[in-house]
Amino acid sequence: MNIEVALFSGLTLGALYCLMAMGLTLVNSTIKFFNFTHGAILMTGAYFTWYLLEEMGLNYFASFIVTLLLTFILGVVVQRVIVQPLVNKEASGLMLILGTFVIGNLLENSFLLIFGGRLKRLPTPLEGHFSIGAATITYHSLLILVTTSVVMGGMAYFLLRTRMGMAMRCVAQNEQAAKLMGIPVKTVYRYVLGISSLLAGVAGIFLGSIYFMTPSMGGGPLSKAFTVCVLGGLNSILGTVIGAFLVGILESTLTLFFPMYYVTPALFLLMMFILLVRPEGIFA
Amino acid sequence: MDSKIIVLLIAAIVVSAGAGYFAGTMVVPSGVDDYQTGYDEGYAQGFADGEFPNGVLKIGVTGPMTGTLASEGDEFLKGVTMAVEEINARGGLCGYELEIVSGDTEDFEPGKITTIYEKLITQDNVDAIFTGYASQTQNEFEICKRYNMIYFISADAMSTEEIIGAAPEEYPTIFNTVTSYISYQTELPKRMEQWYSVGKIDLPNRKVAIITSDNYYSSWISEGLRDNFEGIGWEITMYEMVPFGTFTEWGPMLEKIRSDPPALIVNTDYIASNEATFMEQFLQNPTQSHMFIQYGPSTPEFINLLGDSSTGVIYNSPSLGIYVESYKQGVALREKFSDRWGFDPGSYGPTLYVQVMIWAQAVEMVGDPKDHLAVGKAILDNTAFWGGGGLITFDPVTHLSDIRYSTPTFYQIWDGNRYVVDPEPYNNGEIQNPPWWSEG
Repeated sequence: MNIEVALFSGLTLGALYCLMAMGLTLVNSTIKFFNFTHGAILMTGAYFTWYLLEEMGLNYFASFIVTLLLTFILGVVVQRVIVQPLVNKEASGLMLILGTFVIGNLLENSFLLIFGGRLKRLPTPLEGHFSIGAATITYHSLLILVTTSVVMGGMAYFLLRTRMGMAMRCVAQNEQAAKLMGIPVKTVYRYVLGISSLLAGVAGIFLGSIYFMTPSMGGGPLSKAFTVCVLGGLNSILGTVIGAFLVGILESTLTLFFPMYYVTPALFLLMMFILLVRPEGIFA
Repeated sequence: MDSKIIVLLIAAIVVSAGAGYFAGTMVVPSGVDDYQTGYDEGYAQGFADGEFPNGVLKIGVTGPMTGTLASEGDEFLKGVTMAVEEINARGGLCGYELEIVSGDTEDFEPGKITTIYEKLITQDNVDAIFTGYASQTQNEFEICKRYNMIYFISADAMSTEEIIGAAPEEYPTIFNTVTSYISYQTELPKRMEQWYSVGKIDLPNRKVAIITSDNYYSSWISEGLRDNFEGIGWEITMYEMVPFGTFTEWGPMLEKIRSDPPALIVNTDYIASNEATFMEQFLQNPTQSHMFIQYGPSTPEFINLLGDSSTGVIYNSPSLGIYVESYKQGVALREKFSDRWGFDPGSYGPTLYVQVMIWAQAVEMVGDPKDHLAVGKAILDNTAFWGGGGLITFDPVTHLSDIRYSTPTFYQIWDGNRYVVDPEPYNNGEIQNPPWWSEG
């Protein structure tokens, strides 16, 4: 078996999982809840880009940038409408899960009404492929890897070198202390949801060009992102990044040696084992 | 009065009475032209436009209205809507105006199916339910049986055969407008050898790789194909099952295929988006293999989304279809749908239209849409209706469609068009080696 196939396929998968999961971890580490709108926002990223390309006639790059802005704004709206009213209230954890679940459903069904259920697809900006050994690598996959690397670098710089990034880390460590230090927690929350949604939007754009788009396309990635977060650590972005590539490469490698049907159960078995041994995640 | 005139008068009365009697019971196959009215004039008891003295009669449409298969559910609904519009425009059905209530079975989760069907029957009070397919297990059969609900389905022939065939008297109101799926298992191996023997295609070897999905339809077909290919001496180089639902990472599986290229690759995962993704990833580094894909290529999405990448794909159906140009009834159905909705359908839009028309015809015969048992008996005993695949009559044991004047049909997609390649005389094209072979 040619291991380079598993490696390159796994790296591409890992990059996608990374984009899907980073935003989830950001929200969970800061605001301390699992954001169920994440999958739906991933879907809106794909549909926004489709609409800008197909109906408005923008070029790919412009559509990409505008979509990032739109998904950021959408995240901020979610924060103002659902998160802000419910956070720090009684049973806020459960209420936030339910509230974001409802918003996610609302988004899915709204887009179903607007765009219909028929499959759509985003174009790939880079066509063509090349081979390394037995592995066939498309330029589009390369774009995903490069973009993910840029995003990861950007996130690292933002979190480590900017005031807002540091504020986010403070809130994640201790929200009360952060408030006492004068950090505007509501503003931090807005940025967290905005950036998380932006990351989901990027993931949606890439997924919409690799696979096919439906209003419910976010469900699968959401559950995969959850697996990655649990493995890597729900409160660790670095852990999430490592977990994403680990899951991607593991999935591809297992497929080479075992029937496809057993790969997903194997991953969930691994997740169960990790939860038993190190419930906070491998890299938390 | 002249005795001859008396005899003639008596004869005329007898003939008229006889004609009247037989007109009420004689089965007249509804032809294409009858789609103008929906069913034979002899049964029409419609009222003038706008008059519905008996009020509203609700009918249910179920299927995956959301999720990966939402495009299928959308077509189910459009087919039924087309029929309802036609019937209502003619004055309704036995004095009722038809109204549609839909139920979304999305991911076919059995609990959801039960809830939807119970709601349609007990709360929405529908008098018939139509679907292309609404579940993977047909657990809704038991619910419809309990309420003697008229239920039409057009899929999963093998499940219907097993469930209803065991006790048809327990399912008097459930019908499946597809014919037996046995040809899905048996015909492809025979055709491959046949096409090779007459020089239409090349076969680099006698190897086949089979990919299937974790659902009864896909696995039943793939198991039969595996057995039948092995029966004629072919080697099964790969037999892989993927989880049912959205599945997109075909890369490692294709690597296995490329390591030992077979003459034929078979993918019975019927979800069009999965199959299209498979085809795209295959074409990144294709092998000298024919490509047979189950069901997905018959949907509009497959060609729309793949474009030229769909060229060379082979698929089949157990009967004639709406894209067999010489089968004018099917073409008329396709054009009716296309004229109404603005796009060429897959098979299900016209199929659901036909389901409603078959039901409506039976209701008109009985005169009471609420008498489900009588309507079911009328459907079983009297249906002879031109559908998308042939003349539909119902087998009394399985309640499957015993489609007459039809035959299993093979297609190959080329430059965005569907060509019937087998059998003669229905073919409008010839099977050939796929275009990616020239890149090999």
